[in-house]
Amino acid sequence: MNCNSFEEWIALYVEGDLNPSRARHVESHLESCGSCQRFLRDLKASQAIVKELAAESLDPASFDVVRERVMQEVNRRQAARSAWWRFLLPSVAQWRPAWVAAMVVLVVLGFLFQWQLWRRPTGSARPDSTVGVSPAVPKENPGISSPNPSQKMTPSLEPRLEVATRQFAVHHKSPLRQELLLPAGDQSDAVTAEFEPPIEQGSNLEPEQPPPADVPAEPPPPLVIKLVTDDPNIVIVWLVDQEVHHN
Amino acid sequence: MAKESGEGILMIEDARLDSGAPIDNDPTAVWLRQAKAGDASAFEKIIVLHQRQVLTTSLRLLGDLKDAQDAAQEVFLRLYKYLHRFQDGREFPPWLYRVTVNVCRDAQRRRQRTATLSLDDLVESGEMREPASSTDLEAELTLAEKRGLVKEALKRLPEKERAAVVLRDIEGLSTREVAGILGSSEVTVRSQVSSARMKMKLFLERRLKRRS
Repeated sequence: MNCNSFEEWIALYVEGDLNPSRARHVESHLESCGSCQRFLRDLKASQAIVKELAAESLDPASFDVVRERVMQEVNRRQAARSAWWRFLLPSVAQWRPAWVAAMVVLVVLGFLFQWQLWRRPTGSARPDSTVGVSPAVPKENPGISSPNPSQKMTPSLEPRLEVATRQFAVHHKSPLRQELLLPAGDQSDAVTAEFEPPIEQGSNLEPEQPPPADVPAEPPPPLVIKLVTDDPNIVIVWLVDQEVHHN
Repeated sequence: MAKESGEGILMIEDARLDSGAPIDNDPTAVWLRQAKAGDASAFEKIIVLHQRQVLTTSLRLLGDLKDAQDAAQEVFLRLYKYLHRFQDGREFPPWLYRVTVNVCRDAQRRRQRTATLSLDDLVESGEMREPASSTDLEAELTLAEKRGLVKEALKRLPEKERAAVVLRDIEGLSTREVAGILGSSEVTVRSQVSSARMKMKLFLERRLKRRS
């Protein structure tokens, strides 16, 4: 290790920045090297000059200039912030009725829009309506005959009714409904629809005679329509009221 | 042990209470709370307490009083902007040093360097490799001359070496503190300080020899 390398260490040794082992190494070298001893002496002298700068004190006016400029800027920012709040708060108070009116208008418009959306696809048949369940099935199964031409659904209603059919089927797996199931032999692979005319006691299938004038006409029993699906546990029952017109 | 609290500030204060550390003995902590609440006079007290540190460090890094005042103003305005980050005054001086060094570094990069010849240039040219004078430098110079020479030498140092030697030898911080402020390792700081001390020694010897 030459003296140039030792000078780097001596530059740290002079202020106590070397670790103890290297410091001992430097000290042992200094004992036998006059050049490095002279380097250390001059370095101590230059360091003493450098540290003179630490004792230098500035003119107090120099600090005042900085402090005044900073405080001027701080006060300006605080004033600007206060002015902003003074502007904002009265404006909020002044615009409050207008904001409330705007919110009311938005709520009304939103309600009307939702009402239109709710009203358009359902019409007279609601998704959760029993009557509206069955007509969706024939679309998926063309073999099913429609029970009544008047009960055909418009195309715009079909997707929603399909969903309703699934909901109806899932919700009617309870044992109470199983009494409506058809015998296993009567169930086909495809979904079929059966129309059972109302069973009346004493009926001989003769043309129906109008009731006597003094006997009040009884409303006919509802038309029962059963839809059997692939799942033997699911049978859709459709009850349709029949209207009687007396001329 | 810190008591459980919903607010971080209260947790810190509780921890200091339990550890026996004084809360209100640190004036900076009190003024910080008041300044954060909008008290401009409290912020001015903080400036008065720390203005020597900021302005003198800026002056040693920049070498010009006007530039140093501009830098110090920027440092205190940044402090005002980030007041909410401080919970107490303990981390305050290192933060101020760090911001001061950064602001001065930016200022140096913006302005045109007036020094046409750095200490590195002198060393590389061999002009500063003359045999070291055995003259007692300290005895031959007046106090004003000494300070003038040191300022000139500092101006000619590389930016990082100047920051390291100013913080270590003039501000009197430890190597670890300097490393934390500059964001570097202690080994790097030691290397920078060693190089700066040798260059300044050579610069002072050369100037003294020219005088004689």
